[in-house]
Amino acid sequence: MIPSLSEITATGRKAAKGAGYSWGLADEAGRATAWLWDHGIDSITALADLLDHGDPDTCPIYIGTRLCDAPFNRAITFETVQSPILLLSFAAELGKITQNTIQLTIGTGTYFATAEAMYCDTPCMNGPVAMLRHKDAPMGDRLAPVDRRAAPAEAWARLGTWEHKTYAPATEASRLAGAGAGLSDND
Amino acid sequence: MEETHVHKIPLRPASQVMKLSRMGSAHAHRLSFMRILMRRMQRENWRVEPTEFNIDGNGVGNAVYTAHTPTRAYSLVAFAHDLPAELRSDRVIAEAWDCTFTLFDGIPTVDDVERLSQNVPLQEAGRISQSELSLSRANRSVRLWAHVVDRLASGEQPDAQMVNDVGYLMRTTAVYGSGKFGAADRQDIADRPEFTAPFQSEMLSVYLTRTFVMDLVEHMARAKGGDTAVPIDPDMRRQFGIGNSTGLGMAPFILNHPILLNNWVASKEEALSRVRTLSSFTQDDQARFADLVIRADLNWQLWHSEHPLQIEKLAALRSDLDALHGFLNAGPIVSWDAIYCWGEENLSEEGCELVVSLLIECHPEFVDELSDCMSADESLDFRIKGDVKAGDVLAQIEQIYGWADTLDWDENSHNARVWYVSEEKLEPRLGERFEEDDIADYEQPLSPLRDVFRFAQCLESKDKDVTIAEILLAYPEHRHAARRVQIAAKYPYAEIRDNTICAKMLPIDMLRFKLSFFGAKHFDPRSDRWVRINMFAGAPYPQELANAADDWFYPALPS
Repeated sequence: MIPSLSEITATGRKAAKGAGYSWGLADEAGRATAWLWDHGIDSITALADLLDHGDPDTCPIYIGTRLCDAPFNRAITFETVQSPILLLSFAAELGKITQNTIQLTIGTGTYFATAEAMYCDTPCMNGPVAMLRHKDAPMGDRLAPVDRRAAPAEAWARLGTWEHKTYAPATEASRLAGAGAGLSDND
Repeated sequence: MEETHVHKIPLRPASQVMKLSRMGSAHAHRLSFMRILMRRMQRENWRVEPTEFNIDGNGVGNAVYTAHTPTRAYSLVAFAHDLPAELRSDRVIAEAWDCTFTLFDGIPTVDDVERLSQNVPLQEAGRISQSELSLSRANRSVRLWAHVVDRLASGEQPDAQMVNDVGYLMRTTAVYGSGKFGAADRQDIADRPEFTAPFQSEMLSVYLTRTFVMDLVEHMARAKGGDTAVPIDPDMRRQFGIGNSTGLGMAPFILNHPILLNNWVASKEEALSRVRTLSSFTQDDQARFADLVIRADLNWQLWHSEHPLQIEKLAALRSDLDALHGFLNAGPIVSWDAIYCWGEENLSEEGCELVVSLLIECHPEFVDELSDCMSADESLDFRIKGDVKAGDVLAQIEQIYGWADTLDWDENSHNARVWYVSEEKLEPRLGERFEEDDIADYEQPLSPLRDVFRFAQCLESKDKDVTIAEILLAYPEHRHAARRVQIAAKYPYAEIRDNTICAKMLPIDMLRFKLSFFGAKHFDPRSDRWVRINMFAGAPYPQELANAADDWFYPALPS
């Protein structure tokens, strides 16, 4: 299945809500997942892993929104962040918010976000995290939007399981009353 | 004529125009999306041609209609089916339709059409791709369809009264765009001038659908009547619109897109303000406006509904039109604004909003350019400004939502409804919180007023100098409400000034409001949450575009 970005946003949002996130944080999860996917990163698997084994204290959605809500001036480190690559989306937003270059380190990987663009010096999806304001020019290759591609089927299905929890079960009463129209439209 | 300098009349306040009863009385206008599309098609001399028409005598097969802009081509790919009557439902939960469609970005190859034939007829159960801009379906109005085929086949024209009563041969239901089911994302096409204004690809799809449907009915009449069959008389042909049947899905849209909502309303209100501010008003202007009122009256005569609420509103509009004729015939009027002010003083909301649309209609030179202001990049205002202090947010809440201070949220009637999505084909529905077990567990965040009040309660218990960032860290459940307040503080028309989960709330008010921006006419509710409309009725067909004026929305004056 080759999802559109709006489908990834919607599925990420509803899956996060189904997994217990508030609607406001679920909005953040959907947006981050779609942005990263558009920039060539498998955020679908990252989000599915996060939702399956979530812990608010080490959740990149909580951490990322907190950093964007109250941008930092000092270096911040986290020994453990689940699916830390999801923080990259928030680093990109911080680059825009602060108009500074933000350096994000994940394990052996290094990324830079400026107000205009995102750069990958060395890719890495997992490991301890550090984020700081970087005074020099960003390094590495620019991360640009890439073409659509197939979603990882197993991870997409796991998101679908969470997403499904936001849907009310089909009942006959709901079917007849909830939509406010009959079942036949011959006129 | 040179305008003397006058103080601009302010835009009407959100407290007036964003009330649901006012929104539910809105009429289409010059800035409605199908009007914007038609103007561009005429201005740029678009050419439309049927490039494929492979449909048999039973109405089964496929067709391709291509619209050529100066720089691109877009093709409606249509699949026609022979649907048993018992399957004909406008609901999302339907699984088969008389016709299914997609708008293809370019001119499809044989392989494209083959791929689409495996998917488009399945609608939500199929997949389309980045090459497709919309996905839609339509069902016949069985009564009128059979009548028109039979009459044309036997060499006669359809009965004019029946055509007036129904108004369309097919009725679309959902018209999906913006990435749904794999379609191109909005951002993929948003920078194309022809799609800058909202819903232009969807409107193009519906416009081409209308053309296809008229060709199809004549094709079936020929299949039945052979040489005896005749085409529809061009004047009557133009009267046919394309129907649409719409349920609750449109209501969440306007709640979920507050900045877009603002930009639509702000553009319309700016248009009204510009017209009201004009100092010049001549006898010719008065005569021109009076003619337009007569044409709006003709439109009223074609507007039928069996729903008690709309019957009542149509009766009020009848009185309003009579009063308006009287006002215009009574003597000279001093200004455009005097018409508006008289309407506000003397007419129902239905009549008053009609006057707004008619005033806007009179001044394309000041209005049409506002169509460039109606889209929105909503991602730009997504981030919450976390350094705002709790006390300042409370002040914003008081200003925007303070009108509802006296609502007692412990009273069931203010919390009566739950917006939810059924697992059954993801159909949006509205439930009764205190009557349906567990339905609140599935509630969608479509009750901004209640949610903002919950947020305000939380803020009131905190130090007023605490930042929103700190509060949201401890109370993430208020995050969507916090975002909402910041958006509504920046965009005056972003928020509906009513309670969207109240027992008395009528979803059709939201549906009609959105449909008026599409450019629909003849709103005909079937319940409090379902409405049928007519689109493009009276519009020129592609071959008539070159010689047609942008003056088709209201019926012409009798010659």
